[in-house]
Amino acid sequence: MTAKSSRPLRILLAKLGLDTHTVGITVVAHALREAGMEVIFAGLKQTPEMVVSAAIQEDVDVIGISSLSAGHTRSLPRLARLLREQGGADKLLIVGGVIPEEDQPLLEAAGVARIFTMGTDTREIARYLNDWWLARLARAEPATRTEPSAPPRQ
Amino acid sequence: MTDIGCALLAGQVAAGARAIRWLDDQDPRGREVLREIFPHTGRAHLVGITGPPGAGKSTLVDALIGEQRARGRRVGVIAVDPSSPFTGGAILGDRVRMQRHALDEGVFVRSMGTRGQAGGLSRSTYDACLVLDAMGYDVVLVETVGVGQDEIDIVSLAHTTVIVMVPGLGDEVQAIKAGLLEVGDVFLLNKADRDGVEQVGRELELMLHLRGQDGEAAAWRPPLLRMVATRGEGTGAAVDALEAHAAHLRASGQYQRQAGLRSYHQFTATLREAATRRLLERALRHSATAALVADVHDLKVDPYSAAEALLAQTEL
Amino acid sequence: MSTISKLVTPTPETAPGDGATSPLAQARASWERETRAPYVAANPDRETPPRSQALRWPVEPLYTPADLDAVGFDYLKDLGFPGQYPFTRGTNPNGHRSKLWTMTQVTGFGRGEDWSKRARFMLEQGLQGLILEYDLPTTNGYDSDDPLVEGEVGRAGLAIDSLQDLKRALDLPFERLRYLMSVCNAPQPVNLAMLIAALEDKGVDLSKFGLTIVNGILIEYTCVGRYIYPPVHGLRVATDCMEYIIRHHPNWAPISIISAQLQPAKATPVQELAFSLTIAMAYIDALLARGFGIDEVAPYFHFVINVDMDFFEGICKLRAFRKMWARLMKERYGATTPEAMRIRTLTSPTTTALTLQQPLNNIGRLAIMATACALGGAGETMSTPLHDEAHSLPAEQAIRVGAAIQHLVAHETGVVDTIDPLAGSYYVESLTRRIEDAATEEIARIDKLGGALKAIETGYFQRALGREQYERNREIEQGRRKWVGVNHLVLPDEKREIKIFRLDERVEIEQIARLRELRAHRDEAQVARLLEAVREAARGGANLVPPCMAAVRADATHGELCNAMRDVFGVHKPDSQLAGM
Repeated sequence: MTAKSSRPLRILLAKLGLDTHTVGITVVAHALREAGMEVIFAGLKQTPEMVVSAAIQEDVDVIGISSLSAGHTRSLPRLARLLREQGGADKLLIVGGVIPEEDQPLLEAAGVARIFTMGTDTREIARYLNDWWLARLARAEPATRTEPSAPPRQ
Repeated sequence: MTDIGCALLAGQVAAGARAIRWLDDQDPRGREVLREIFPHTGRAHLVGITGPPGAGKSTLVDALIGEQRARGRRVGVIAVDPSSPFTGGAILGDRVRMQRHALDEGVFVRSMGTRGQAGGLSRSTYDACLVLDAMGYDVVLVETVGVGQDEIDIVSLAHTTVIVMVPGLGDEVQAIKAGLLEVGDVFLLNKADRDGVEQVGRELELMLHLRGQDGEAAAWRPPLLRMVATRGEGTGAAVDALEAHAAHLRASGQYQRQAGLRSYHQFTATLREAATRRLLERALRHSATAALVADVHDLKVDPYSAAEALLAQTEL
Repeated sequence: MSTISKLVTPTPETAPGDGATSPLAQARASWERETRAPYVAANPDRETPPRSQALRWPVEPLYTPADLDAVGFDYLKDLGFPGQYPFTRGTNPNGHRSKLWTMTQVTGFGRGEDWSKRARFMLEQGLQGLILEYDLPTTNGYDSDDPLVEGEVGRAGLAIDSLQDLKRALDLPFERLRYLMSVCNAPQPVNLAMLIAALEDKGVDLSKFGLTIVNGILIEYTCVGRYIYPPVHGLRVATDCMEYIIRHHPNWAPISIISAQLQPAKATPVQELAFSLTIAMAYIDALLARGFGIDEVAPYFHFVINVDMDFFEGICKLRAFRKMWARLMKERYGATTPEAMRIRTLTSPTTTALTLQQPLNNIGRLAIMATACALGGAGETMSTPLHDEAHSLPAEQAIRVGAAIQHLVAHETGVVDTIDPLAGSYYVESLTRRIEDAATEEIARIDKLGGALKAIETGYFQRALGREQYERNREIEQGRRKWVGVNHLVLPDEKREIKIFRLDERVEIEQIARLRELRAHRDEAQVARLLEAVREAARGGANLVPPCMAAVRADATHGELCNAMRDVFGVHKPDSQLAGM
């Protein structure tokens, strides 16, 4: 991401259910802010309904769910379905945490775009989001005129 | 009218959210929507909430939402947090306190980063207020960054400015009080179950009393109310005070005047920004003026003389 | 002189006052010049300058008596003797020569009877104490049929909805079991009431049994997250439980500061000492405000401390813990008895050093960390995690290996045959002092903020840990910190197998059925009355344990009791700042 882009990527981060391990989500939040993104923290102990409602009000581009509990096989498909139903189909849904391999096909089929398992390099997450965002901006109608606030330095 | 404009006026959440995004991103489509909805604005009561960090502003906003909903009002909230000056990124976390209203269709909460703007708000906070106003929210609560005494842009934006204070903040309160006391319409002393609340309360009352004697603002005496926002205590009286202030503004004709001032403020700010941009673009196209701009970077000329010289050349 | 040796030569400030001319300083300078420098010129340090694992402090190539002088080391003041103030060399006058530490392992899952079966197996392996962990619905104050807890019942620990569940879990041979540690913080008065009632019903002699309740709610707000009420009410609830135990069961342990939860949240040893000790002081201040004396309450404080792979920093941290506790109790609170100044600890190798990759390596890590615990002073109890913990619920073989590690450290290495064997090491003593001094400074900073409660309410602790988490993670990602199997000696096609322990879904269904059955057969009017009595106590200042006890005996449920207190106290909702971002 170009530093101080006038249209930074907005991502909502949240945890579902009762799992309150925050080290992972904290590290990712810091890393994405450092990558120039606007991170909206929706909190812990959220339900899929609350996350979807927040994502739409905030008009985020991406929803990132941190999961270290077994409940994700039920809650994530529900979240993806609600997102489609409520007009948020253009939003990217990604998940990070402890996701056993045998659960991954189910989540992908349900609409999770990308799964980052525990120990993923945060730079890989930032790079993935950045590439996705640049591609989306390029696909959008002709780039709107950027507004330089200062002349370029020599 | 654009689809987004129509949907927004019909109160559709996703449409309003998208319009705010465009305005925040300075996407030209945002301006177009704003033009369409402008005639439908002017109804919402804009309330600014400011105060030092640690005053519990978000929790207080959460309590005010609850009370306003109990009175049947639809509530919009804009919570502003600082963006990193280095990367432009931000972690916006105020809405956590308000998540219990996440499923209430009468509540819309939006987080915004300051994106380089000083003064406790973002450049597009006012625009976002207009969108929420046009969507039919009766009250729009704007929670500022709230860092210190100079974070008072909110005063020119809101009808009613609420200053949140808490006991136990120490010396820094003195400095903050000096700046904020002048501009507050309603004072809320939060965490009133804490030690030291009596002392802070007495100090504030004395200062407000002295301010009341200035005579000019005699018609409205800013009330000081005690609250324990975590338990919702004092919320009813706080909302009463907000309504009383709105009624006072309407009765005295200030409500309309203030909106006009706000609009004028935005008008001049927009002019300033656009004029600067165009002047610079034009300057950089011509070698003589481009050299002048380069001289500023190279410290060969002082910035004031350079600005005068450029204005003279463009016959302004 | 080469650049490298310039970098590693001690600066004059670190030498003692007249050191520049002392024979030692001269000899050292000549060693640097004539012996080391030529060698280093050809064989530079692997890393320049090397830094310590946890604190990232520069590590000198060699420590000498000059380093002791530099920190003003004084044997009598800094160390003293085992069993005597300031207890740096250990709290037991004979170290581990008379008694080894009590050996325990963590366990807990499923329904009452599942836990009981596993606990019996562990007691048969020679363990004398058990640590009871509950599932997330229980530790967060919900009943098993709450919609929010779907899929979590009995998964991460024991599921408790009522006194009946706990009685099923405690179907144990109490003649073998010396003590039980119950890890349940936010809903503590409910949990304590149930434990007392269950033990009484089992006919256990409460004056001879050792019950430890963790009761460490302030750490939950700092990094773990299993809180319910806002911090100020969390502290009040915890204080009620401490007060109740001290007055009625003075042989029990009413508070345990789980410093071991700060360590996985990436607290440095300095932060860990300062945060844990100021958190302990917040509880102490609350007890003193209820009319207790310091000599009366200080002996009740118990600490659980993890040791990481940062071998020397871990050892020095354990030594600094003992000394700082003693000094705080004596100098700050005016304690007069040795018992009040003597810290009680459970030490444990940390699970966060363990890797999913190449899991057998974890057995090596556990043995090294358990050795560090023994060298630093294991205290009363040592607990070992299991090498395959990251993968799934402990297999019985892993439980056996975990227990064996403690025995081989105790019996095969000889490290505990003499007391505090590393004392006097120039490195260990100077590092212990530097850690102590830095932690003392940090405590002064927290004092200025208004103490631990304020530091939590303003997010100071959480943000400090958040920054450290981010920094540590970056070091691993950029390869500046090596972690075998993760970024060093990586097996290219190793499949990282992650298993989430899934209980049979029937556990949840049965637990909910049981709960409904219980509700159907109790006196509802009586339950409603007893719940209101709990609300009344919460609103006023009366101790919450007695009304909770009356209510659990009438089969009021865990979640109902927590809800009654939610009605009065409200709920804690940390924003990003309070979550450490």
